[in-house]
Amino acid sequence: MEEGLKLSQLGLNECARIDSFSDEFLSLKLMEIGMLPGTEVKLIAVAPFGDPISVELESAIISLRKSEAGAVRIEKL
Amino acid sequence: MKSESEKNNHLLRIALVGNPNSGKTTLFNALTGLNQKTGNFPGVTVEKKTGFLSGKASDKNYKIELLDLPGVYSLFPKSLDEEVTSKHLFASEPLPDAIVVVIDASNLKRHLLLATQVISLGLPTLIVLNMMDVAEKNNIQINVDLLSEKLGVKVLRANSRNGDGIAAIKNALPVLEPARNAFYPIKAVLSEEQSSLLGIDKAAVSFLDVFRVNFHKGKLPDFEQILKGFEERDLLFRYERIRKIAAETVSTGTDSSLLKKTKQADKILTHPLFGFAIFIGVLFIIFQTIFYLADFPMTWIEQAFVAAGEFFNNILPDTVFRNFLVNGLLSGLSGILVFVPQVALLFGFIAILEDSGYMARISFLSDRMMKVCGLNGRSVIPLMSGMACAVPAIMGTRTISNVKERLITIMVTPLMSCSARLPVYTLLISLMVPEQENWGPFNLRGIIMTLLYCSGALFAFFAAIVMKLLIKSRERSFFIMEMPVYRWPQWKTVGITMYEKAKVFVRDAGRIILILALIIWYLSNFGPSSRMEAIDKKYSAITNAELSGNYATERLENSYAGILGKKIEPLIRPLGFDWKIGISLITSFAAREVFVSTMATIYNAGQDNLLSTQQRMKEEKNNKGEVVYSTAVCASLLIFYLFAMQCISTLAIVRRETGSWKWPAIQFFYMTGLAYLASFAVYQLLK
Repeated sequence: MEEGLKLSQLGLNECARIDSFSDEFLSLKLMEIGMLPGTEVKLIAVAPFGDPISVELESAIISLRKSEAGAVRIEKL
Repeated sequence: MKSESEKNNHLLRIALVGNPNSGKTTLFNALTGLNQKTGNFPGVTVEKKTGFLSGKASDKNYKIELLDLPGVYSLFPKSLDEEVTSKHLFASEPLPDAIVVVIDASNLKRHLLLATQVISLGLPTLIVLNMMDVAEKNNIQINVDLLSEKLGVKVLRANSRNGDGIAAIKNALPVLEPARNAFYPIKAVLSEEQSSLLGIDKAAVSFLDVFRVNFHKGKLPDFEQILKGFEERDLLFRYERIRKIAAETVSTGTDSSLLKKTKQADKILTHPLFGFAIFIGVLFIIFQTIFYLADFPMTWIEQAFVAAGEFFNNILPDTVFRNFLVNGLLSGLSGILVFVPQVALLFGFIAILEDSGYMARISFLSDRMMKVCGLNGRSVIPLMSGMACAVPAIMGTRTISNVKERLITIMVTPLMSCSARLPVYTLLISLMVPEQENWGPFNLRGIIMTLLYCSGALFAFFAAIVMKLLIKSRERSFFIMEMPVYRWPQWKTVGITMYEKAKVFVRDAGRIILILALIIWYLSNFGPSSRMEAIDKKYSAITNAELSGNYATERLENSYAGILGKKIEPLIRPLGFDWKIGISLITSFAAREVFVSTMATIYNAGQDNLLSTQQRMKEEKNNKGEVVYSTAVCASLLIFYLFAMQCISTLAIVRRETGSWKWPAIQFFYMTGLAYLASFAVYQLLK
């Protein structure tokens, strides 16, 4: 496991498991939309100019800004 | 007996909630059809849709008022839009008689979070498993009876797209019951200490209490500390339970084909290069349609009103009443109805984009660029359609859920050069550049026109940046959204949207537009009676057709609008404008293109005769013998029309969308102020 890796650092088509969050407000928003700790995600799209990004969960696609993805600590798979 | 009849006609108020993309709007339309009422929630610019239907249970008829609430993921609001939902579900009196939660059956686990929170409120509840067709395509099997038993509430399946299950829902609505239990005991996550600190009787503490306290956060001094961690513990507790329930009631297929197809499509549609190119293409098609296609019905409407006007001119004697009917009322009504094709078409497109799932991709692709100026990915469509007409564009900002971003979009959209400015630009540019001149391969007139359109867009972005700094919001801006699966748009939804939006426009904005149009009609047709009588007398003897045009010119000069135009001359002198231009500035408040017809009247060129108006304006000299419409004056006027807020229809729609006169007033002053300064600078430089 790489230390302190964030969702914003994930490359296209790479997979990871969500570990924890560093921002309380965003963590609640992300969890209620389905990004819980332990969820596996795959980065599937990057918008023009590198932001926002889209990740695939079990049964949905969620897009979020890089700044928000920076609050998500991950474990690369 | 009385109570019996009261019961028979009992009106049930039922709230409809669901996650975004749960097919909530489609279900709402399927249940209520065209029996809808669209308005605003008080205080916020969130659309309030109420629908009416009748339900029948055990031989009694019930009238049901169904309230469509903004889509949310949970009952802990994260934005002002979401607060509306919480407020109407549990935080204000009276509570709804029942709540219907719509769930995307193909996304059961994630969508059950909201459903279980609603269950915990303890009100009569129905859960609708919507989009069963998608679930079936994705090979998802759900044991509905078992799910209903586990959750303790009624669960019904539906496919609101083809109407499956709608009748069953209607029959279930009047006889809904609260869940047997609160999904899980609240004491599992709320300590006794916390509940006593909240001032709630710890024996009787309920989720309803805690959700309410959470909603009214600001009012408790140490709230953040007291309820700290409650939301997270609640959420994790619920997800854990949901996972178990889902494991028992849902069998997931091996392959979810719609999601797979969506991902394949997104490889191209959200590609930074190809996706962006397709997006630009889509914008172009929409713009072309609103700009050109809407032109046909708009011309028909205008012609119909002109014909009606001529009809009344012929059969009625020349009185003030005829003038009022033809030039005031009919032309005012025409000025309202002429917008309907654009409004309907734009909302047709918006409905198609939303319904198909492409709107979310537009937001995704353009968020980075829009964020810079405090706008949202969804601001793109309104801004672009503002180049056709600001009125439908501003109505289209409804799709932006962040209140601040929506407000900024509303405020800057009228800076985009709309189609009403086009005739003004055409007239002035042709005065400025008399001959077809070319700069290399480019036509000079074309270059000026392009510059005007680009400056409008550029200044819209500048203004947005300034407003981003000025408008304060307690709402945190974030962009976390679900990308729905692609589906074919539903034509019924598209049709209902177009119809409802046209209705709202005519009813709400139309009223204000008509009143303002009549005021302008009055100002430009009436003046101090002594002056008017003198003119009438002077011309009563003259029957010469050539001179009768002078009559209209003199009357306009001596009308209140004319007097006002002369009064403001000192104010507009530094911009290079004389009182004749002043009159046009005032009359063109009805619509910018009225500038051209006012010029025609002032220069007695015969109504709407562009060439002779142009000729007369070109020949116009001031008392020093200088040409009035010099390059400097024309440039100054062009800049003025580019920036100034000279459209009562836009002000009316901003009033309607923001719910107060404050924002249209700010918009009027900032745009007109900007116009004044810019015209001043241009005139003084070129003079």
